[in-house]
Amino acid sequence: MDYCEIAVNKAIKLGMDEADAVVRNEKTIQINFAQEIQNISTLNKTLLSVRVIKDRKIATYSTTLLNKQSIHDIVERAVKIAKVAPEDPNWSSLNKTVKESKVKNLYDPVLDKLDYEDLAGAINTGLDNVANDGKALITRGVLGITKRQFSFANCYQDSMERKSSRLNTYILAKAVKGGESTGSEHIQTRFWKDIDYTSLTNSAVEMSQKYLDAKPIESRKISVIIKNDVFARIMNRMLSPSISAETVRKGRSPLKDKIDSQIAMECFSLFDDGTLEKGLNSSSFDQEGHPTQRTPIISNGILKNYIYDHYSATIDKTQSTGNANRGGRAKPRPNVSNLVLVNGDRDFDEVISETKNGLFIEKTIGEWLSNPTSGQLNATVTHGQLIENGEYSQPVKNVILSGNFWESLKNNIEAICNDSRNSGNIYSPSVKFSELVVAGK
Amino acid sequence: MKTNSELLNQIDLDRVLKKASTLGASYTDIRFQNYQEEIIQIEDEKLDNFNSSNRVGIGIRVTVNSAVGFASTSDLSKNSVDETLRVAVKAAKSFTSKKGVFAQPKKLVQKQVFRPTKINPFDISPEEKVSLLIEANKAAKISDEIKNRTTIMGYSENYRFFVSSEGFQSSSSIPLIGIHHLSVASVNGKLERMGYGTGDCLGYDFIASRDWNEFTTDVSELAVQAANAVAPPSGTYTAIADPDLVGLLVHEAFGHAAEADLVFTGSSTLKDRLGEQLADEQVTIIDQGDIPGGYYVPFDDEGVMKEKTVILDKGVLKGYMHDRNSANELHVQPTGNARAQDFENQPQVRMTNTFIDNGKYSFDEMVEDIKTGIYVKRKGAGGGQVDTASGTFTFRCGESYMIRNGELAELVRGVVLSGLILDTLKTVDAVGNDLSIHNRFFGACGKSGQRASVGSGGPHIRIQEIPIGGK
Repeated sequence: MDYCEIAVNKAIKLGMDEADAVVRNEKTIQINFAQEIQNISTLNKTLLSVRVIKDRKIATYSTTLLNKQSIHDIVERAVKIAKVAPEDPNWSSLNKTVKESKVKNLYDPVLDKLDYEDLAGAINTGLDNVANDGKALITRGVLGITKRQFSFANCYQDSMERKSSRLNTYILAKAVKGGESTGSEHIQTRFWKDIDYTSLTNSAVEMSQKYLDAKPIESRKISVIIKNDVFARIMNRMLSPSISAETVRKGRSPLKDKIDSQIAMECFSLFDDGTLEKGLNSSSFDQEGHPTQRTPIISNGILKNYIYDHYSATIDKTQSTGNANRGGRAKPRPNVSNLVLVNGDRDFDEVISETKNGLFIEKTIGEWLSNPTSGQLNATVTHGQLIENGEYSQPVKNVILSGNFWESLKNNIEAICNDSRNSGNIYSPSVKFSELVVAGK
Repeated sequence: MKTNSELLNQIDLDRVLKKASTLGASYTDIRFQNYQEEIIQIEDEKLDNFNSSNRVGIGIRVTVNSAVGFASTSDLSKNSVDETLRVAVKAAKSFTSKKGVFAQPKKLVQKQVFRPTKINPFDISPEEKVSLLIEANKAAKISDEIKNRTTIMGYSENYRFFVSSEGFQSSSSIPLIGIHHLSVASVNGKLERMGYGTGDCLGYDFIASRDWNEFTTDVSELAVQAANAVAPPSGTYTAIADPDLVGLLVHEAFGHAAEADLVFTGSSTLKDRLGEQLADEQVTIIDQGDIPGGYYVPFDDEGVMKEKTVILDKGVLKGYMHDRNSANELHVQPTGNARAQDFENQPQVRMTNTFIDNGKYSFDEMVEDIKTGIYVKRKGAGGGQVDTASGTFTFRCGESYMIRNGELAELVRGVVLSGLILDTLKTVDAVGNDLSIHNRFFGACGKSGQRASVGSGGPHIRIQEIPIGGK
C-alpha cells in the first residue's frame, strides 16, 4: 500500500468522514554557473500532504518524515485539529469525479540517461563560446532539471500516479566594455533537446551589446510593444488570480459578474489548457484527482469562464474545470494550468516597422508588483528600445511603465503578433498597445 | 514522532563524515534541519485553512579538488544518506572549479543557540488561536465597502544542526511568529486591496501582547481611503520614506548589490568600488545578525559567526557581505552571510538584517523644506526587485501622501518607485534619527530561487530625486 492510501485509511479508521492525500517526490539537479561552473546540487524530496474532514471541519498536515509510524502520527494530529476547528458551512464533499485525461509529452526519458558530465559539457560549450567571443561575461547562470512523481488518493479512489519532467535555464551576460549593460535569456521546457547553450549564450550576449548606451527618456504617453515573454508575466500577475473562481467569489477580482461581458478587444482570446501537449503545467489529472481540460476564458474579448476546483465549483453549482492546485500545502485552490493567449496574425517585425513613435519593451523587473485588483499596471523597464519612424533609435533603461491593465485590454490593443512563447506556464505573443504612460526623467 | 537528537543519532553524522573522506572529499559539511510550521487562515470570519507541516532532511556538501558537490534528501534511512553522499561526491568529481576554496574565518562556531519562547504557540489550543483571528477579522469589517478580509497567523520553529569535517559544530533553534491581514475595499465601483504583516522571533507572547483588532481595522481604513484616492502623475519627485520602507529600499536598492558572490562574478554594479564615496556622509549601512526587531541569525550555514558588518561607512563603500568562498576570492574574512533556505539548498551570500543607521534629522525637519514631494510608507507595500548588474531597482510602496509646501497632503494610491542604485544613493540628502528594524513572518527575500527570512529598516530618509510611476 502506498503512503497516500496509508494516510487516508488511517484517517477513516480514526472516525473521519472523508480524507485525501497527495505525495510529491521531486528529484532535482541544479547547476549554477558564471564564467565557469560553480557547483552542482541534487535534491531528493518526498512530501506527503493529508487532509481530513469530520462534520465539515477540516485540517491539513504535510510532512517529509515518511514511514508508517510517522504517517500515523501526523494523521492523528490532523484529526485532533479537525475535531476542534470551526466548521465550514460551504463544505459538501471531496471530489468524486476521479479520472485521467489524455496528455502527451510531459516526460523526457532522455533525462534518465544524462550524467553530470553531459550537463556540464553542454553548459561549457556555451561558456566557451562567450569566452572566445570576448564581448561579454556570463555573470550568472542556472540549469535546473526536475523529475516529479505525483500520486493521489482519497476515500473514494485508490491511489493514482503521474510523472513529469521540467527544465529551466537562465543566463545573464554583462557587457565587458562600454557601459553597465546586461542581456539575458531563459527557457522553461519539458525536454532536454530544447536547450542549446550556444544559441542561448549568443542571444544573451547580443542583447547586452544592444543596450550599451541605454538611458531613461522623458516622461510621456507613448505606444508600446511588449515582448511576448514580458507580456506573459504581466498576464500571470493580472489575469491568473482574477479568473480564479475563488478570487471572484471572495470579491477580490474585478472580473466578478463579468461573464458574457466584453472585457477585452475582439482580437483578444485566451484559454486555460491542462491538456496542452508539452505544456509546462499540463497533467492528466489535477491535484484532487479531477481530469484536466481545455477551458475557454476570454473568446473574442468576451469573458466566458472562470477556473474551478471541486470546492468552488460546488458552491457555484457548476463543474470543476480540473484546476485544483495545492501549491506546497495540503488545501487545493483553483489555479491556472497553462494560460494561453491566442496568437494574432501580425509579424513582429511588421508591427515595429509601422510604428512611428513607440517603445519596444524587451525586459522588465517588478511587473509582479502590479495590482490585479485595481488594475494598476507598473513595471520597471530595464531593456527598452525607442522606435522612431519604424526603426529602433535609442536603447532605453530605468523608466516605469504605468497604466490600467483592464482599461488597456478593452480600449488600447493595437496589434497581437504571431510569435507566441512561454514564460513558465503562461504562453503569449508580443502585444502592442496604443497608449501607456512611461515615467522617466 | 522522533526527537531531533534521535534523528541525528539515526543518521550517525560522524560515520558520514568519515565515509566522505574515504570517497575522496577533502572537505565535507552536513546540515540537518527540522522545520515545523502552522498556518491558520481566516477569511470573512470563517476558517479557510489550518495547515500544519514539518520538513526534515539533510544536505551534504563536499569539495573534491576545489569543486563543490551538494546533495540533499528527506529520506534519513542509512541507504538514502549513503546514496546522497555518493551523489554529492560524484557531482563534485564531474567538473573543475575553484568555488570550493574557503577563507578561514576568525572563528568557526562551536556552540548551541536556543531561543526559548515564553509561550510556545504550538502549545496554545487551536480554538484559542482561531478565535483570536476570527475576532481580528471581524474587526476589519468597518463598513459595507469592505468586500473581503483575510487574516493569517503563522508560526514556526526552525532547528538547524551544522557539522563539518573541520571539526566544527553548531545548532540553533529559532522561532518566528507573525500575522498578516488583507482587506479589499470597493468604493464607487473602484476596487483596492491593502495588506500588511508583522512578526518577530518570539513565541505566542508576541500575539498576546498586541491589539490585533486595531491592526486589522487600520488596514481596512487604509483600503477604503486608497480606493477613493487617485494615483499621482508619473514623474520625478522628492520623496521621504518611512523606516519600514527604508528597509525595503536598502535591501533592494543596495543590499543585494553588496552580496559578494554577485560582486566577484561581475553581476553587481558595486564591483571595484571599495573606498569610493557613494553617498552623503550621513549614510551608513549595516548588516547585523542580532538586533531587536530583526530576524535572529547568530551564525550562518557554514558555521561562521554573524557579526556586525559595516558595508557603507559615512557614505564610503567599506566592504561586502561574504560567504567563505567569496571571502577567499576577494581576500577578506567571511562575514557570516552564507545562508540556505533549508536543507534542500546550498548556502549562498544573503543579507541578515540590513539597515541605514541613525542620522540627525527629525521627520518635521525633513518635510518642512519640500515644496512638492511624496511621503511613502511600507504599510500595504508590495515588495521589490533589483537587477544588480545594471543597477536598476524597483518596489511598490504602500500608504503614500503628497507633500505640499512643507506639509503632508492627500493620500495617493498605486505608487511605484524605481531608480539606479548609484544615482539614488547620491541623492539621499537627509537621514532621520528614529531607527527601527522590522521583520515579518509572511514575505521573505528571494534570491536565485531560495527564500530567506530577513529583517531590515532604518530611520526616515529623504531622497532628493527619484522616478515614480503613478497614473
